[in-house]
Amino acid sequence: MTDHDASVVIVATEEDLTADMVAAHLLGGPVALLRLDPGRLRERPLVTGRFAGGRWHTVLTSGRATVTLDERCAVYWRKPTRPDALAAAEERWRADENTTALLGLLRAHPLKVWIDDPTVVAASLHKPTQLAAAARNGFAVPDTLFTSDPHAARAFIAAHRDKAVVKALTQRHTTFIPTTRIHLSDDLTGIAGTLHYLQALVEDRLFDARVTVVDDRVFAAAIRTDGALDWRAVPQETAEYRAIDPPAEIARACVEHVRDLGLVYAALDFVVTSAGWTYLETNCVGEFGWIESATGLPISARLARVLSEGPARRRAVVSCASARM
Amino acid sequence: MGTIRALMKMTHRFGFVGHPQSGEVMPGPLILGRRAPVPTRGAPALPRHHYDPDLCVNVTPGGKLLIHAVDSGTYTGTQEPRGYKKDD
Repeated sequence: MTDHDASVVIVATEEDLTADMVAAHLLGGPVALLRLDPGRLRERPLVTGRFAGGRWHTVLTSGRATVTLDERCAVYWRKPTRPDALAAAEERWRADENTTALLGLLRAHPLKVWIDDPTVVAASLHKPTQLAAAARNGFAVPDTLFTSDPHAARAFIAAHRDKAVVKALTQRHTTFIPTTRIHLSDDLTGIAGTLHYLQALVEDRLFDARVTVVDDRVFAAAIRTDGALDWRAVPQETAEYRAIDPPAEIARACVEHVRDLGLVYAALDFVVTSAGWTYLETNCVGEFGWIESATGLPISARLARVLSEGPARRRAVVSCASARM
Repeated sequence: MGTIRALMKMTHRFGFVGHPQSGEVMPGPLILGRRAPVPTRGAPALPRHHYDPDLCVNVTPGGKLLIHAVDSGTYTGTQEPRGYKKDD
């Protein structure tokens, strides 16, 4: 076991190769590294938190590393096993108990940085919150409607000259639902009883853009498809991904937006037209491994650096397509 | 009576019939009709590997980091096992 001045705790499933990408940058470095999945906690690492003298003292130990939760400790909370993903009731309870306890302990301590506290993520992932924040941050945001009223939907589509889309807010209890066009000629009766998320179509797109923000850095990529409305529905090998430098004001607004939501990390989606960049949404725990692999953008390295060195809150915003790391 | 009449009017207008709790059927949500077809092809199987709790990463039997043994982009996308990106 080695004494370290700084430590990083990664909360992720053991199968999470995106967490591996970040951990790989920390291996052999100056920080103690410890990884655990509270949804499938093993006998090690050991977790012990004690409240005494009016304060918490929590230590996590594994074979190699001992981590004390304090201002020298950074936390990367990825996607641990969800308790409801487990088959047996007792396992679901244990996963829930462990996740709740770990989350509570982490929240009770001052940390160097937390990417990101899932309770903050939970508050930030709502689209109405995001769209309002995006408008505050200076982005162009499409006209949007949430409604369970077929008449309101029809009026919205008509107001946008039959150029509107319908999007799913969640995907957990269904197979994939891409963003699709919605027309006045569609049977809209199925809107009754379910709040539907409609948006004005952003016309004449040149390309889509995914901007991944890590603290004060932005990693932007252009995504070009054969005219697809939703690049997620396109097989990865048929789309073209290229690192780009976004306009400075967009980069600055992306960083402000992520901070505004209380986050350190997020992946933002835009449509780019000749008129400029239009904001679509913020993925608070958005994946990045695929776009790093496709473009070479050093997102995992930046995450590792922020975890080991802490955030650089006051530095100038840097776009990383040309200036690596 | 007035309420019942209003409900009947709505039923006629929107084309659905009643509420599930009354044993009647509402139309399915419009957006569920927009589900993409389930892809037939998923990501290729990973080579043999195991999670190393000391290193905090997955490694191959030869000790190589798994993410260096495969194109990690294939396995770190937002794809579900069936291939589509969902959890983005």
